[in-house]
Amino acid sequence: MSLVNKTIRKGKEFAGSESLAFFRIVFGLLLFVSEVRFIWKGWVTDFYVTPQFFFSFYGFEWVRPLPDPYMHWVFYALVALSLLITFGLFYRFSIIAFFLVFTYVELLDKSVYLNHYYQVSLLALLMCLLPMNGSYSLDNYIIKSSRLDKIPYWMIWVLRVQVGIVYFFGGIAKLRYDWLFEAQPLRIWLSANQNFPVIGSLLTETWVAFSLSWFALFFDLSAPFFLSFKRTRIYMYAVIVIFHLLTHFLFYIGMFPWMMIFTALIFFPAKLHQKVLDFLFGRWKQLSIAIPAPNVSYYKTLAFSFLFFCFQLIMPFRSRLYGGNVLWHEQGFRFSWNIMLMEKNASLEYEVKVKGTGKQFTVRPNKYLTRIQARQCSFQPDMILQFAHMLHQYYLDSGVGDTEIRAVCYASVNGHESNLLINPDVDLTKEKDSFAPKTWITDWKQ
Amino acid sequence: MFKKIFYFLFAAAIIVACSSKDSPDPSSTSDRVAMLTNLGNNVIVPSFEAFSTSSQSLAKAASDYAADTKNETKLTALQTAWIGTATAWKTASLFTQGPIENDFLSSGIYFTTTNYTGIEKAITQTATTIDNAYIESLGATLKGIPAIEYMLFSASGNTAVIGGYTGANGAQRIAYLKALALNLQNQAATVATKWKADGGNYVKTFIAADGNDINSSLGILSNKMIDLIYTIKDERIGAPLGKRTNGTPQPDLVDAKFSKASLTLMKAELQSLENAFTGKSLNGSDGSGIDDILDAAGAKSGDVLLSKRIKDQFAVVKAKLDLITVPLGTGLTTQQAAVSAAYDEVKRLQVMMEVDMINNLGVLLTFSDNDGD
Repeated sequence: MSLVNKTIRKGKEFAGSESLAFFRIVFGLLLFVSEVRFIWKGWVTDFYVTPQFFFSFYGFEWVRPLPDPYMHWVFYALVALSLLITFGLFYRFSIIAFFLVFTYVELLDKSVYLNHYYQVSLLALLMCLLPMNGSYSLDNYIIKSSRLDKIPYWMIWVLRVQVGIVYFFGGIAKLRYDWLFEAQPLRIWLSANQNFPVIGSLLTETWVAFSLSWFALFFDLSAPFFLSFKRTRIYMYAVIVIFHLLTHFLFYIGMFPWMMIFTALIFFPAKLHQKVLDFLFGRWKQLSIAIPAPNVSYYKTLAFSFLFFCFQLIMPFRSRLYGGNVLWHEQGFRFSWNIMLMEKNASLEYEVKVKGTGKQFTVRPNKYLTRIQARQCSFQPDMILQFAHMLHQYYLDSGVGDTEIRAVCYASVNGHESNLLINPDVDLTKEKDSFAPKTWITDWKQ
Repeated sequence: MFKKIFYFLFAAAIIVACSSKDSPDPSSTSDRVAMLTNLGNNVIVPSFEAFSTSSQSLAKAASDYAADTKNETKLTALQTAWIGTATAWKTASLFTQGPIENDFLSSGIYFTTTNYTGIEKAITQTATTIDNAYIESLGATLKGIPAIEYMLFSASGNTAVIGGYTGANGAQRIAYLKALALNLQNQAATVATKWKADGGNYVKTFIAADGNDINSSLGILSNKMIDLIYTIKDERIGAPLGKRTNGTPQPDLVDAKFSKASLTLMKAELQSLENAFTGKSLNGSDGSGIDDILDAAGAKSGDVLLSKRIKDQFAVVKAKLDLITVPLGTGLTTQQAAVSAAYDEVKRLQVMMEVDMINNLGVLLTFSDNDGD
């Protein structure tokens, strides 16, 4: 109990607002780079303009992409908003707008779902409620009331917990047979990097794959805790930097390593954040000497954060309700920090039967989907169902008529032998997506 | 003060710009480099050389026959030379990455649709001399291996073919045939030269792209292997068998329908897949291939090595095709069960390659970020 009391007492204390400013600037810059990179690579067109079909999330079917060229404008807006956040200009507006626009984009198509995009949305949501512009922001010049010298200490913890969650649940998700006792999918992925400079030949060694699997497990599970203690913090952070740089060079995981390296800095004490900001921008003279009344104005934020984290604690475990192997059926797979857990491949064809004429033919989704969509759709059961429905609608609209659609899908996970993923006898046009267990997914056989 | 943020942005931009090009050390020799070296030097280059050589024989046989158009023996020799050339092309046709695609060469060699009336028109209505330059100016539907096939084989037999060359417009027809063969010989020589170390040396580029992303040699090759196995399943067998037409066979859709060489050519296409997989060169010596990469990674299918499972499946497919004892166009109706069985085995091979093989290779078949999908 004393620990809890201590924590509560500590949470009620005040800390310098520089920590929030520091995190705001880091977040803003990361997202600026991320969005510019996205536009630079031509992904706006590839992911949101070219596709004829979009795989919306269950319950968010009403979220639709804007016609060309407005999707590009959406991304220009994200770039502008990330800069406004960085500079702390019209902060409250910028962060709320950023959260809404970013989340809108992420809801458009499951094929490009990434765990770190989910993390960006969650952090942005939390940041909507926190006074991250208390210091080192342009708002301080314009709006005097935005100036804050001190903020309640728990606000920093809100951000720390959200950053720590990714590691911790990422670790929990690794507690599975493939990862621990077959060193999969790392064995496959490391072997694929056998031409890596210097260490390339090591990467094909089984013991290396096992060592790294177990190391990554303990790293993920312990990182948030070692980062929280003063004595271990700096060492853990060094490990974090090395670990993420390694993943950056070995795997094509984009901004994820950079996000983790920079957001983990929030675990350092406020003094360090203050020193860094002082060094960069000089002493911030725009601070009000007034200290806000303890917590009064923040009770709602505190209550929200509490509910938010209760939700966060439950979400990653929802897949367990379905039983079986989540990597196979993927029910509850997304939004659960299942990061770098599987190498999955599949071959997908649809057997279509026109009800009116009895005509039968086979369709490969590649014909209608972009490459990335076709690949993602091939092994994710809910997407396989969605595309069957899209095809059904397509044949109705194009005058072919009502159809029965069955999927012939063979999938392989983490080097295991391929098997039928979807019951080929089930007419998918009759099945509906829901949170109920999908009985038309075959059982995992190994 | 905010200048510093701009410096930050600038530095970040530079980091992003630079981090996209990490060139791996070429001196490190790994299984994958060994495989690419073997495939490039001992499988791909010899395949294109063989294609080039056989196209020379075809051109030679064409001019021999042209000198004596009434001679059926020479026509038969020419027909045999055509089958040899078509087979050599199919054995190499998996390797379209590089020169063939960059210079759009495949359309002049083996285009999928042939415009027969267009060919007749080109023969009879032209006022210009029919030579290689004339062929160069024509579209892909009027030339290449399928056009030559159309001009060499007839459902009514060789007498009809000879009649075409000895009757009205016979001189123009034979000139067209000769020019087609010469043009093909040039195309084949171009492809071989571009690949060879003492020519365009694309083989060096092929070996150097030793990463595991979508633009690496292995990435492109595995995508092509999947495309080809689908082509065999859907176009070579499926469509003729009636998979798109409610089970009504479509003999017209078989590959090389005039020469009735569909099965031979299909086996050659399977051979190119098998050669890439096993690293077996044309003379039969077994070098480093995808199978060795899978073995080194410990890839298994159930209790047996995945590579063995796939090699066995190649053998099963070949055995099933051998059970079709008549030309495929006929077999679609008279030996339907055998053709159907072959189709099912090709489907099994397709799943093994597209799913199990790719899964264990860990090559990236898309270009975006991922964090484990």
